[in-house]
Amino acid sequence: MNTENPAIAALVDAQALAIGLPLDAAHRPGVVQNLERLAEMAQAVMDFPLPHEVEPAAVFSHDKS
Amino acid sequence: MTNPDAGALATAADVKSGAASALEITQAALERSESRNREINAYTSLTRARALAEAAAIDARRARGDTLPPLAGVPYAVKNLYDIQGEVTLAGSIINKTNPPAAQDALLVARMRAAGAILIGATNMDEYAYGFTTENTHYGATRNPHDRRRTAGGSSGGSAAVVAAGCVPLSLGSDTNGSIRVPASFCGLFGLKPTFGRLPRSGSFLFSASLDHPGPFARSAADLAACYDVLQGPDPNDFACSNRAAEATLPHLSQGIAGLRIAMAGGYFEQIAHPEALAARDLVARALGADKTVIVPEAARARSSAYLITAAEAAAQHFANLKTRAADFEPLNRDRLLAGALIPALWILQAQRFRAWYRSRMLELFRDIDILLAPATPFAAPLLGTETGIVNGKSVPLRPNIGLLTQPISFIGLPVVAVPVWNAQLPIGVQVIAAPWKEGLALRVAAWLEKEGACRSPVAKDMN
Repeated sequence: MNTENPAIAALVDAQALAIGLPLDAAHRPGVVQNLERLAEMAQAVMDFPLPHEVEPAAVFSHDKS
Repeated sequence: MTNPDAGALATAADVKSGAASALEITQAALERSESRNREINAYTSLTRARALAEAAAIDARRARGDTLPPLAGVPYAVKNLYDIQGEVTLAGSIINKTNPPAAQDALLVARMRAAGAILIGATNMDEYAYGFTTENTHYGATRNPHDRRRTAGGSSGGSAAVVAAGCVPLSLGSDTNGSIRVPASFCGLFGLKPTFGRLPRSGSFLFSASLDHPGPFARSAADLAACYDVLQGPDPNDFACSNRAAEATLPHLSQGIAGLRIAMAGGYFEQIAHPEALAARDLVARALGADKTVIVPEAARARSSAYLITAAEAAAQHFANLKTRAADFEPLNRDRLLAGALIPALWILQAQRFRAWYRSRMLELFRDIDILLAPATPFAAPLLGTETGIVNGKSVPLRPNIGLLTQPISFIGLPVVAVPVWNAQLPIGVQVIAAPWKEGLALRVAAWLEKEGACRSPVAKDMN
């Protein structure tokens, strides 16, 4: 039995509306479930204290311009 | 005529010596590919006309007395996310079916061609490379040649299966979170995921741009090194590809392991791995005389971060189609992709900050060791259709959790050779992990393990 996390369900509906992503009613429960799983992963990341000087590791370079 | 189970280097040697023609080798590979594919569903197309033309060109060069390139006459296949000139690049989807045919080969396919290799076909995969089982709803599941009730792994499952089935001695796959190492483990192959940025991605269909690594599969360490060596080199069109010059590994493959500091990954990796996976790692460690264990710092958070970044990057890549035709996506992936589009930016940026922190800690760890050993998958190949599995004593959805042991390593792009161990009915892989740009060390260790008899990669039995 699946019980939706109301905060995540609200995030799904608001964010989908805001970014213009139509969600089929048949897809919505799976989307909520997946975002709940992603939220659990995010919690583990957010709980980890990082020193202020740590920058994001995105790949960006002017080497090839 | 070359033994059809011969490896790539043996085949190339026969072509060079004239013991076999490229044409007869290619015809045999096409026949085997056609008949064996009926049992394993690993190809999405055979490139018959191209293969015969490439083979004839090699034979003509030999007849003229030209010096032949290193993989002359060696058949190979590519995951169907690599562009093949004149073919539509499906990347496992039906959405891409209406795209125009590729105007030119992907850079790695062009490099294989320049090396004399013969393209036999394109292989099945999880849609857009998002998955670990190649259970593709549109094109059917690829079956494991060693036990056809089981998954070949994914997402490069077709590329692994055609090598394990003896259709071809080499193939190309790609690994974002484990998509070379997982199928290598389940199909009993040697697989290389190089350092992030080592091999170019021009002309390959991106999945998650900051994590995508192309790489080869083979049935021996020497074939794997030979293939990797012809793939290397900078690419001005791939933003992430390093400008480092190619560093040949094959000439150094037999240097042995003397002086290498080798350790096992403990903690998280030992908690997640099932007994068969730990037994395989222990067998490899014993063969290498490695008895030290080190702890990878925050491996679970590294895996969580990789999962988040993948979902967000993949969703951004596919957003236009998610908006207009979500129902055409693979049902096993669709909801995860849609959810990926809804992730708050904060989570992703924090995961990227964590990535920088984790990278510096892992590089510190590699000051004291040269090679880290960890199982490639928590277990051997599951039966197709399996929905749940046991991880850390808990029942969880199986498919997204097959990469638990590979994700913390690819997250920061470390090079890995997956080596095959057979200590039970089914093979299982062990990751031989090195510091950035040290693919050569991992390949040397793989060659040593093969020579010592700890690892081997036989062609599957009972194939028609």
